[in-house]
Amino acid sequence: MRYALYLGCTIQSEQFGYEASVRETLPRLGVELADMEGVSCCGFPALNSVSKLGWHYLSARNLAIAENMGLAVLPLCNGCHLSFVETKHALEKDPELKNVINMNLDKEGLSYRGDVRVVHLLEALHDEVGTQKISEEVVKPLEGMKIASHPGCHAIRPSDLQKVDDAENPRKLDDLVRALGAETFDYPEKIDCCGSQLALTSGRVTLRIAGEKLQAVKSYGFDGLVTTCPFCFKMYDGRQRAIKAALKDDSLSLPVFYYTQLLGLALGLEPARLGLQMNRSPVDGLVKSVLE
Amino acid sequence: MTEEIRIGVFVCHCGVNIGGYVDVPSVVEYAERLPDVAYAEPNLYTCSSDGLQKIQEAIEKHGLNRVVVASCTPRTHEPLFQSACEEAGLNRYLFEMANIRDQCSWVHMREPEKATQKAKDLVRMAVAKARLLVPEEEPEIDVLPKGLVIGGGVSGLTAALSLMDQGFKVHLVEREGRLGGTLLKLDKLFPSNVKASEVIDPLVERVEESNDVTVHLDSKVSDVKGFIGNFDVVVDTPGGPEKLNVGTIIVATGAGYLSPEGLYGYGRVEGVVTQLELEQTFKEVGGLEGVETLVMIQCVGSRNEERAYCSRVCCTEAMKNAIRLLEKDPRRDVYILYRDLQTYGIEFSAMEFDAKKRGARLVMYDKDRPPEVTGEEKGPLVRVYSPLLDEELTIEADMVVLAAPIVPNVDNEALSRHLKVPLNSDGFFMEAHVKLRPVDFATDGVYVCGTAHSPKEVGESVYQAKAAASRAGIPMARGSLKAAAITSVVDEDRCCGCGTCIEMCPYNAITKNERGLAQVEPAVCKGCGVCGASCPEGAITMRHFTDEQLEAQGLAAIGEA
Amino acid sequence: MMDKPVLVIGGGVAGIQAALDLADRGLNVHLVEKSPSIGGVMAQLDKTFPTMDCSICILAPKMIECSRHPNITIHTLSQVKEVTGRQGDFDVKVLKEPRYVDESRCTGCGLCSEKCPTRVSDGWQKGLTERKAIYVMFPQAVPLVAKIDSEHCLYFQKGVCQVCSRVCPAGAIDYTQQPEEISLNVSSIIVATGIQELDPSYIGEYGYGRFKDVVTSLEFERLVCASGPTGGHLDRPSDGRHADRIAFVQCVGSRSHKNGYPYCSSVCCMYATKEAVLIKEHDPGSEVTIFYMDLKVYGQGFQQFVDRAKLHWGVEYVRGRPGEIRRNPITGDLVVWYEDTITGDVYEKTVDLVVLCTTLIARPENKELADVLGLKLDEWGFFKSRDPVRGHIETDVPGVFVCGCCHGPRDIPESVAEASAGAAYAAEVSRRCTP
Repeated sequence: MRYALYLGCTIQSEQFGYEASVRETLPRLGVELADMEGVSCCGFPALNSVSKLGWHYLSARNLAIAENMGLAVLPLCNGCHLSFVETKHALEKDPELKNVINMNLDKEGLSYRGDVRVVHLLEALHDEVGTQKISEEVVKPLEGMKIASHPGCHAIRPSDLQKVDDAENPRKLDDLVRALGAETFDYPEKIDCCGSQLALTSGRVTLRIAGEKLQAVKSYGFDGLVTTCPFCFKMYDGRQRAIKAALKDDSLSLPVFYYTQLLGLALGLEPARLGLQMNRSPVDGLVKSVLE
Repeated sequence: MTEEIRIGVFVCHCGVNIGGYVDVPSVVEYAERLPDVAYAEPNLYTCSSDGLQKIQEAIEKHGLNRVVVASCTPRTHEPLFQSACEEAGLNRYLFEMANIRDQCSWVHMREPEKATQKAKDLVRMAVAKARLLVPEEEPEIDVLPKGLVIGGGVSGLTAALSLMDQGFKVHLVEREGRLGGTLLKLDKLFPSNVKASEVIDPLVERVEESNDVTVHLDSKVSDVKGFIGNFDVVVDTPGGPEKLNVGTIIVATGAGYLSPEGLYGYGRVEGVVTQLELEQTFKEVGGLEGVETLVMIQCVGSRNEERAYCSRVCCTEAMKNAIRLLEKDPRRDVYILYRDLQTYGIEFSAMEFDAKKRGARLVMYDKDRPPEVTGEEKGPLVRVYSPLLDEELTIEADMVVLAAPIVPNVDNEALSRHLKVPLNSDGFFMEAHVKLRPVDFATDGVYVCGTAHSPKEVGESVYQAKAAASRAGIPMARGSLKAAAITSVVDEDRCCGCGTCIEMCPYNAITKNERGLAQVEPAVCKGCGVCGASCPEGAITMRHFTDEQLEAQGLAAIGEA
Repeated sequence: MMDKPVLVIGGGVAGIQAALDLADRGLNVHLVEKSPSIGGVMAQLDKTFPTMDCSICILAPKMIECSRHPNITIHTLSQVKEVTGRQGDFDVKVLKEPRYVDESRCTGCGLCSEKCPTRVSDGWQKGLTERKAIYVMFPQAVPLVAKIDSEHCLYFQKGVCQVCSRVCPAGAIDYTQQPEEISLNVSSIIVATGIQELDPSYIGEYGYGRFKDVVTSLEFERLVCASGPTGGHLDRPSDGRHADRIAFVQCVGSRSHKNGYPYCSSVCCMYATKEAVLIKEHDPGSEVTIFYMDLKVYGQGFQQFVDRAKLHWGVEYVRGRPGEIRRNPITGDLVVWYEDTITGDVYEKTVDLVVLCTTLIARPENKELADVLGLKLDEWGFFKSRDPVRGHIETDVPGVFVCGCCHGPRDIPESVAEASAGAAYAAEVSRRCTP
């Protein structure tokens, strides 16, 4: 399996832990990652609200680069994934728009055909690598740990387009957590939004939404939360202190991981190689118990 | 001379249903030793063809003249065993059943000894009654193959035509001077927009042309006597009272329409009309000129303290009218102020959606804050608060259409007295059983259909009329009926003519004879026993449940007989 | 010249009523029913609205009457496969599936089921419990005769076992039975094949299929029925804990152009009210809420029934379609998210059990039967009447009539009246076509 790895903005600019853990773990599962040259932002989350053409142009450009490489593209971010999927769909439905975009891409010597496969990290791990293979590679099972899965909105909505998982009952991230030997179960707030996208316009509301979800997750007895989206991660991990302050809840404290970080730990890799020192939520305790 | 009573007792195992909990052999043994029991045997399944044969063989072999079967419920199996006895030459009323399954083994599964004792008690009781049973005859009543239909609207005409097509003669009595009823006032009918005249005219024509239906116009039923198969009806016609002799009666008298005086400006404010009046306008004029803004108000004088019921047709009628008006001129503003939309089913839901698509504005209002209509210079002004909008709308209407309810016909009261059939609390005719006998009356031989029963739309009236015709056709097709033998008997020496039983009888089976004493009509009597229980002189007893029989059974229950 | 018999297809309450009306007036009737017993959906209900009669108690006597009536021949496990001819002279081929039990010998004692080693999900109990591979459909079945489900029977699948034939005291087991073709010649045909409820699994936000305590209304009826899997106790399917707080969700899959069927199923507001009253009768302390869109109270006695439910029993009615149902993994409680459209506020309600009142949809068998009879179906798969006003029970094929829910959802009194209407039509045809 070989994919064109699409990192997008947030991961390259600050979410190093995600990139690190992906580059460390995927090759060990037989997945080759090829870097893409000359890619740009996908257009999410701001440009799509302002200019449809601009947004689809950016995404189509990235997809065209992958097409040139002859590979399926693997975006790591839920938002980038949805952006690519929606662009593919839009350009299929609107040949005019596709034409305009291609005319512009031509200036760079690029051309968007529309036959590139877009594969979300969850799909690559769950459907293409498979939970069986992952379980087989696990050397340090996360025994006794209860991890809540947060698939994130853009992996499961909107329902009409290529879905990574079921919109009302997503299971893939749960299956992947179990493949590591950890325990997980359904909880009511599982498909609730992290609130990131509102951060630009209603900061306080965002913190409350995210905080209430963390409080709920904690109340069910989970030891940690796992996700595959840098926006969601940034909200729950990076802004956990601000959430605590906003909710006036000092006791609120929950370890938050990227799935590939937990995967790396279970595969026996060193925490530092997985960027765990950069997680701002209190992960040390859990990490220690895995290593022991 | 008293014949020797020779009772046969058959105790059923019913597979494991009884046999698994009751010691059947010991019950048989017990039965054998009871006085007057000539023979007793156990059966695995008394109701099987095998078991029935055994009963018949035993009757023959042991000269049995009474039979007791101790098994399951008489409700399902009594007729079966009675028929078996009859086929062996024993009158079916010389048979008695003890329920040692539903009333014994099934409810006392955890106490087999007690269940066995109870089974013995039940058998003893059945035997005690069986000793006193006498043969009974079921009177046969002739049924005249002639029906009376009261009401010449769409329901009455449909019922009359069906009866005619089934081969019966029909008398049709109509209050007005012409046939057709309410449909004569209507323009088009939902859901197909067929013209009312296209529906009613062919029916009227067929009836008028037929030789088998005798129509009495300007006529009313003024007296009814008799019973199923043989009703004597007096009809007041323009030419004087006429006597009709019929086998069955179908009530198809339709309903009235509320004139909502005092509600929403009706009668006071110009431009406020009812749905029926709008329909008549459509029929006479074809459309509404100059009406740009129209407001329909639903539930006017219904679904309230005064009149609890929903009139069923008004919401769909409103949709029909909205579609019609908007189809003609899509620029119109059509408002429908409603509480709960009663557009049930597939076709009416589709009409609701069609009306909405065409731009009808459906505004929900709450029962406790109804709309207000005032008369202004330009026309009626409607104010309505909608909780969904949290806003009060003020609409300058050209016309306001009120959905006033269908109400019981003014003649219902009198007719119910003549026919001795009940009205429900809303004033409509009340059927025998809401679920399983929707067009029958409790009184045999009388049926009801159409809006005489409750508000409904035309298609529903038509099939109900057909249903009533089917029901009425049954006894008439058979030509005769057997009345059950379980009827009450009046001891004329004891009867003092107080009339209590007549009042109490729910089936109107008792009248006063020429001596002023109570007389039971066996054909109508259902054997409920209320008369016997209420007679202050103890003059009434029930066949097959005589005072002596019941006393014997009771004493046997407590072991004193 | 004897009148020809009439064919009634479908043995639910409508088919039963039509058969009885015809038989009582002296016509012979062939009542063809697909399943092992007549009774239909009404036999599965606990009580009926608005009278609160025990459903099977008022139906069973009619079922027995059918079986005992000299003029009615019941053909169970049978389907109509071919029809040719015309009004007054239809040639019908009926295919009868083998029961593997001799109807003339079996007494319905139940010993075979007791001893049978194979358990199968019981469809009649809506999958809430199991039955055996040899079984009697339900306690009041007519005919009260067992049937072998050959797809699950060890003998038919693997050639072993045969315990039932060894224990049967009547020697009624017959593994050699073959499908049988029955030819009939009838004067008219009455179609009364009934209806089914929509499976709401696809409506992910309501959690049906994921959460055991979210049930459909027919499943609820089985739960409260004394002959059901819990003996009539309202115990939650997930943990057996008694359900004290119940929510009813109306219009699930209905009145929606987006995600289901656009039409109203006519009877759900009333049966939900009935079920709510049932709960309150058993346990006045319970909390019952009905979430509705428009309350359908158009029938006789309906509004009064709802008034009583509200004022006397304290059933809560909320005008609002819930957005989502969630389940707390620790307490097992269900949470209903909804907007009360009258107040405009959004709330959550914690309950033990949620009953989804789903669309009543056409049975898939209608398609084949329509082809066989030459009938049209509407876009929802229901049989089409000739004319909704003038020929509501008639079809485009003279001599073929439809009654009951097979041409659209309706309640029992309407089905029964339509069945009698069908009988009237059939009697008229009989008279017309008999020389």
